[in-house]
Amino acid sequence: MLFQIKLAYKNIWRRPVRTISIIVMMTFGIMGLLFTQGVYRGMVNQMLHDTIRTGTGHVSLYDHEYRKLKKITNAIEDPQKVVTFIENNKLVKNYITRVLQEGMVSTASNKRPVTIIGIDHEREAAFGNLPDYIIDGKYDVNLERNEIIIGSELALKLKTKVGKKIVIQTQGLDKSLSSIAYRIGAIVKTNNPRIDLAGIFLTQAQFNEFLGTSGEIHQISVMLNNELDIDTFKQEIDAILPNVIKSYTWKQINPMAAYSRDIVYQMETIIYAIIFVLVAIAIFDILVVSILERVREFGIMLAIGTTFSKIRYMIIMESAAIGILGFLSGAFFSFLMLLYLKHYGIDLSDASSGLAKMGMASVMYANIEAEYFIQAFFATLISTVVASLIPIRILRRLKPMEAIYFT
Amino acid sequence: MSFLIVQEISKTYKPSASVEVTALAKTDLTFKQGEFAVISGPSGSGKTTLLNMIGGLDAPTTGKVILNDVILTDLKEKELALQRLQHIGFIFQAYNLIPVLTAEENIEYILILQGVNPKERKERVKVIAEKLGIYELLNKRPNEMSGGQQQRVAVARAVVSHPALILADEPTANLDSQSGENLLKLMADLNREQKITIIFSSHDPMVIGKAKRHIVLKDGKIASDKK
Repeated sequence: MLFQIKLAYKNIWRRPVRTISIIVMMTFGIMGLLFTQGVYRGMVNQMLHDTIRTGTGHVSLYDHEYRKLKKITNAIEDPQKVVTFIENNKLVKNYITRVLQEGMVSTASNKRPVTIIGIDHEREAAFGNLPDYIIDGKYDVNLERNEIIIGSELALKLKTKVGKKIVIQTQGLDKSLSSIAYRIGAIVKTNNPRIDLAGIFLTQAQFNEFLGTSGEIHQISVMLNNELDIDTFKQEIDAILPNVIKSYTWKQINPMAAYSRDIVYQMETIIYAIIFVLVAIAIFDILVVSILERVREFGIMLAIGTTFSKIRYMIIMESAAIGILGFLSGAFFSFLMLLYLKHYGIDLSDASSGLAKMGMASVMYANIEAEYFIQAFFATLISTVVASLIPIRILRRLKPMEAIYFT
Repeated sequence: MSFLIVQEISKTYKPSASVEVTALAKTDLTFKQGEFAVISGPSGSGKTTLLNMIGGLDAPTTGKVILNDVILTDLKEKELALQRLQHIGFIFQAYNLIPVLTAEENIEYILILQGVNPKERKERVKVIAEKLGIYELLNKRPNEMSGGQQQRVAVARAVVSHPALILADEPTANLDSQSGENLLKLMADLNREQKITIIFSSHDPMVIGKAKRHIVLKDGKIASDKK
C-alpha cells in the first residue's frame, strides 16, 4: 500500500499546474462557503446578541397581565421573592430589573411614542454592558442636570442631540398625566429596534420621582450561563412561582428575531449548497479528466498483475489527498479572512437605516466556529472522493486490454 | 504434458447490432515449457488478439486457455490478475512504462506487487539491469529515455519476476535494427538460460528467423505452424 500512496503522490504532482488549479479552486470555494457561513452567522448572532443583551435577556419575567396590558399598575407582585429565587439559582449568570411605562416624548417640533425604562445603571452595565452601546455622551449621566439616555433612531426622528432638552409625558401611578423635561445625557445605539427607536432610559430613582412609583418592578430579565438551559430555567421558575409572574423566553418576546435567524440559517444553507455544488462540479470535471486520461496506464498496471482494488485505492487516495490539500489551503485562508472580518467587520453604513429596522448593526462582524471547518472538510472530502467514483466505475468495466486502448 | 493449451478459442467483436467481426476463428494451439515461438501474419490477422487472450488481458468469445493446468478463462478478474502477476510477463509494442515512475521503480513495481522484500527487490533489479545494460538508466523516467532503452526497461520489468511465460507483442516494431537485434538476443538468452516460454507476435523477419517455432495467422485462422 505504501507504494500505492507513493504512486498516488507522484500522480498528483505529475501536472502541478492542474493540481494547483484544483487546490486554488477549492481554496476559493471553501472561502466562499466559510464567508457565507461566518458572515451570515455573525450577522444573525450579533442581532440576537444585541437583542438579548439590551432587551430581554434569555428569559424575561412579568406580571401575568403586563404583556397584555402595559399599565404601570401591572407590576410584579412580590419582586423580592422572584429576585431571591433568581439569585439562588445556579443556572443564572446575571439579571436586571426594570420599571416600565409607555408615554410620549416631544421636542419643540416633534413628538414620538416611547417606552420609558427605569433601570439600575450598575446592573445594566454588568448584564448587557449597556455602556458599550453609547455612541454619544456618557453612560453615567449627570442626575443633577436631570440627564437621561435615549435611543439613536429616536434622537434622529426627534432631530435632537446630546445636551438638548426633551419633554416626556405619561400617566403616573395615580393615573394623573405627568410631564417633565429632561436633558439628553447620552445616545444609545443597541441595534435593538425597540430601544433605538422608542427607548428612553431613566434611573429607577428618576422614574420613581417622575411617576410616583416606589420600588415597583415590571420586568426582570435573566441571563443564563448557558443558553441551552433556557427551557429548564423557564420550567423551574414557572413551577415555583406560577401565580407571581409569567415567564417568556427571548423567542417568545421577539418572534421576529427568532424567525429572522431561521430564515438566515435557511438562506445560508441554500447559498452553501449552491456554492458547494458549483465547486464540486468544477472539481469533479478536473478530477474525471485527470483520471480518464490515465486509463491506459491503469490498463498497463492491470495487465502486469495489479488488482483492480489496488488501483481503486490509489485513485481514491489521490482524490482524497487533493481534497485534503484543497481543504487545508481553503481553511487557512478562510480562517485569516474570518479573523479579519471578526475584528474589522464589513462596513455597511450606507444601508444602516434599513439594517437598523431589521435590528442589524451597520458593521457586520463575522463569526468563527469550528463547526464551519468540520463541515467544509467533510464537504470537500466527500465531493473529491465522489468525483473519483464515476471514472472508477468506468474503469471497473474495462478489461486490461480495453483500458490500454481506451480513447 | 503441455505447459500452455489454447483450446478452441475465438474472438468476435460486435461494433454494432448488425455487424459482427471475427478477429480470431476457433483456434487450437499447445506450447511446451521453454518454447521460443513467434506468431506472424499481416496486420489484422489476429496476432495481438491471440496473445491478449493467452495472457488473460481479454476474454475469448469461446474456448479455453489453460496455463500450467489452470483454466485462465474460468478465473475471476482478481484471480486472473494474480496469475498474470505470478506467471506471465508482458512486453508491449509501445513499451507501456508508467510515466511517473523511474526505470528502477517500473521494474520494481511488479516485485512490490508480489510482496518481495525491499532488499531482495533492489538486488534483483540491480542484477537484471546490469544484464540488460540499463543500470545507468535506473533513475531516469521513461520520457528521459530512447525507445530502445524504454523497451529494455520493459523487458526487465517482464522478466524480473521470473515468469514462466513471456508474451511480447511486436516488441521490435518501434526499435531500430540494432536495438531490435539486441533485444532478440537478450530474449533468446533468457529462453535458453531460464527456460522461460516466450511467445512473440511479429512480422519482423529478424524475429521470425530467431524463433524455434513459427505460427502464421491469416484472417484470424492458423495458416501454418512450423517448428
